[in-house]
Amino acid sequence: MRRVLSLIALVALAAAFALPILWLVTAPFNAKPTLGLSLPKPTLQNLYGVFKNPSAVTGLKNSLMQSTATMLIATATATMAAYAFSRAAFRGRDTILYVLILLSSVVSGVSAMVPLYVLMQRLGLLDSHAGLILVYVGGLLPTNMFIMKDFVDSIPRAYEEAALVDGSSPGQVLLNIAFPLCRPGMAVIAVLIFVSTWSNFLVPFILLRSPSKAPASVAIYSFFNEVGIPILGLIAAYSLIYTIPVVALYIIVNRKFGFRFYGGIKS
Amino acid sequence: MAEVRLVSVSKSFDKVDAVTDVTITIADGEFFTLLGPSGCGKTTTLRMIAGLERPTSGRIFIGDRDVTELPPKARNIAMVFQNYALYPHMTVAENIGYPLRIRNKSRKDIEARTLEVARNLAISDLIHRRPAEISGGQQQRAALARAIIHEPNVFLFDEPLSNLDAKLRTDARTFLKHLQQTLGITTVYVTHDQSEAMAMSDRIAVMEKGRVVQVGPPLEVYRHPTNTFVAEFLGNPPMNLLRSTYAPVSGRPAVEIDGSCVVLSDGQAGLDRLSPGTEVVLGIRPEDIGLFVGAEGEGIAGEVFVVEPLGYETLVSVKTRAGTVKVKTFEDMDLTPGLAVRLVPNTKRVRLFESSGARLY
Repeated sequence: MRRVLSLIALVALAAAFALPILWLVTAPFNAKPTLGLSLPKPTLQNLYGVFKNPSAVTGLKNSLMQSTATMLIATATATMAAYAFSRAAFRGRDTILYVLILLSSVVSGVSAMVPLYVLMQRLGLLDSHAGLILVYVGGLLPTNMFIMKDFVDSIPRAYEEAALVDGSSPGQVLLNIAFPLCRPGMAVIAVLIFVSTWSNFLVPFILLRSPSKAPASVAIYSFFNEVGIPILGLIAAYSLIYTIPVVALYIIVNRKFGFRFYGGIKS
Repeated sequence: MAEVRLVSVSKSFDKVDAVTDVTITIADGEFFTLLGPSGCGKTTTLRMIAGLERPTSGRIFIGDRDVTELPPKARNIAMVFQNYALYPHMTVAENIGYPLRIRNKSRKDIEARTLEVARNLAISDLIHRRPAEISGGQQQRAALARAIIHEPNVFLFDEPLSNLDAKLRTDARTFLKHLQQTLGITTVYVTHDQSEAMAMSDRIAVMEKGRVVQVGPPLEVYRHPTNTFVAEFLGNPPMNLLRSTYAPVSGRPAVEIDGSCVVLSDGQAGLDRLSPGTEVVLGIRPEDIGLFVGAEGEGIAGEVFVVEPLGYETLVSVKTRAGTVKVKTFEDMDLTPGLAVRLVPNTKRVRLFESSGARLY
């Protein structure tokens, strides 16, 4: 009896979580989607609709551009900073690190929006891709640098020292040894950075004015008819397309790096 | 090939002195060991020769060149680390070839030389694997291969055998010594294992608290330790140290231990200035003590405490009133705990130390 009850509870719980996902993969192919779950006759009409809609396509392009740029810049800078924080002992290192983490987690999201808006306005970077990417990078750096520092700390220095003794210059150590060893960690933070910018709505909504620069998360707002009723077919199809890059990125990174550490030093 | 010279080299980290005033000259082609307990500064000394640490003061020479300020790459050295530090993202072949790759040798040369070295070390069938996919002993050979491929002037070893299990360690020890003899490359070897140091070295430097306390060939250091620290650090079990009193007998030097008199060999310098009654420490190795059954007669009286047969020899702990004495006996004796015995040290092998630890003779 108890088994049956717990089974019912578990199925109900599973259904609650599964329904939105099922809706996400069925609704785009439904000619007249509702908020309920049904799939009468599959159609690609909604997907055509999205690709015919110019603001939807630019939105995806913008998202891709902004997230990729943020990912590249933030991953590179976070890794380099993390490496320095991990390997170089300088005065006040830990203090700087903790202040950065503290400030970035306390002053974040909505509370940072007004000052950031003013800052971007003064810098003349409002409504520009560069300004948005800078804000993203600045916001994501401390946390990802911290994650990356932990990762670099776990790589024994003996690898770099061996490379030095083998005849490498410091630059060659960085390029031939440190960078390849850091790659799995970089893959992890790259995914984190990409996902958090890809799904960000508030920051681009506030910092960007022109619809031609808006990313997908903001562009989705244009799928309303004249009287403000959401066009569910388009929204559903768009949402599906919107998830593809993130899922693809996870798969690629997992294939290539496996979210793992090599290991090889016996201690 | 080169001589390595350290001239009053010191190193301190944040006011903690790791190495103090070390001066040693390591001859061309010599197998030289830095021996000492952990924290004695031996690894720091090695890292300074490698160029991984910069001395706080003093100079380091390799050959005629003052390398004190030079980076590791300008020293043409090779180092084998305790954990081997094989680059995990490269194959064994890429690891071995790395020193040549960094020296811009042609791909063909690197491949040929890698294969040659790998063959010499009997790992040529493993070179396409990753370090994580081969055993500890194989990793050690791969690390050795990477060290010898570019024909360095100096080999540096940082406890390279301590990660191997006991059986493998003895084999690797023999192999390493043979390799060094074949190549004739000046070698600085760091270890805390005295038997390793004894077995492999041409000369040993024993270090204590950042200072070199004695330098010499293994047997000399073993037979004539400069102080009680060295006496206790070398040998397994270590030298017995017994509190005693200087008490010459009719003009001949002798010490008294718990009522028994041990006469010393004549003509030892350093004993003249001792006045009778001075507290001294008598040192005697376990294999230099004769063990006799029975309470009556010459020698230090005691009783058998523990008997440990080791095969070739038997290790006997004897309780005397001057302390527990370890004796190695090579005869089959019927010994049981509690048996009354007498200990007669071989006077030619007896060493005498001041109560402060310094050697008298």
